[in-house]
Amino acid sequence: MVHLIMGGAASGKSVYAERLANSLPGSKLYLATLRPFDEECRQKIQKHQTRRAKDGWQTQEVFGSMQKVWVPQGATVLLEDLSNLTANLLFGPNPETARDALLKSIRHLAEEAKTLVLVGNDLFCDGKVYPPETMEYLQLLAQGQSFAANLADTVTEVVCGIPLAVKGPLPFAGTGWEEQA
Amino acid sequence: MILVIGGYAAGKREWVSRQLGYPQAQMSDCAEDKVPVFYGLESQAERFLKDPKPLLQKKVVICCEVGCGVVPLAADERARRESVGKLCQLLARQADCVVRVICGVGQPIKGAF
Repeated sequence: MVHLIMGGAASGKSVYAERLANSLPGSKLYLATLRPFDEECRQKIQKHQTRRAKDGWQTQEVFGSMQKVWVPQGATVLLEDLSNLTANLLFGPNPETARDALLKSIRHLAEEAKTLVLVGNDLFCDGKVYPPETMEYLQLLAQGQSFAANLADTVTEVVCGIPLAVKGPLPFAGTGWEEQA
Repeated sequence: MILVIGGYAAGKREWVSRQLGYPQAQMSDCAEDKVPVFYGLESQAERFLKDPKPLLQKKVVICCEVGCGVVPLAADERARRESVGKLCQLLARQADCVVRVICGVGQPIKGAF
């Protein structure tokens, strides 16, 4: 099964994706894509790590193509997220093969994982025109996410922590709201 | 409390007026005003994240969706987006009903109004 979870910034998509994965049996592999290049990134990574610590996740950091990632048999794989993967490929050492690597990464994980949960990002609704390299990035991300949606059994949009079914049924009945302290 | 979200100029206040029956005079972007409808949350999120109580006492809270664009280069703009998103999640959790307005059309995504 492949599930694509979409949403904007701080929409609750990551928490929803993690809860969906936590609801499934078997081992869980978390593929992290965010390079810790400043304090803000480090804090974000720390926040996500703390949240996952109690739920038995294995974490692997991959800052490029996912085509050679080894997936344990029967595992649930959570890729967080497609916008970082796209940036790592397009702004990495081999931008000319970024599109191919992006689509093949998604297909590889979909084939190897028992269940693949992909976190995507809606970066498309501010109506602004950006410099050409940003527009190229947005187009590539859109292609990758459309490819993923086409492959996916379900597509869910998370809005204010509330999951909305876009394609197929909701993969998980809960919400993306953080636990209250 | 009913939380109403939507993009810029999506018709959120018009929808609240038409469907929930609150005229413009009962709407304000100052939470201290004794009117049932508060709008403009997207520019005051930091403040209410510290104390959301005044918002929970309103009948209707209206907020622009700001999280669906390219990640801003400026740190304060990124922080603002995060604050608005977090606050909307907090309010959605407490709300009896959440309505998303698109092209002036309200779509309940939690509960009913």
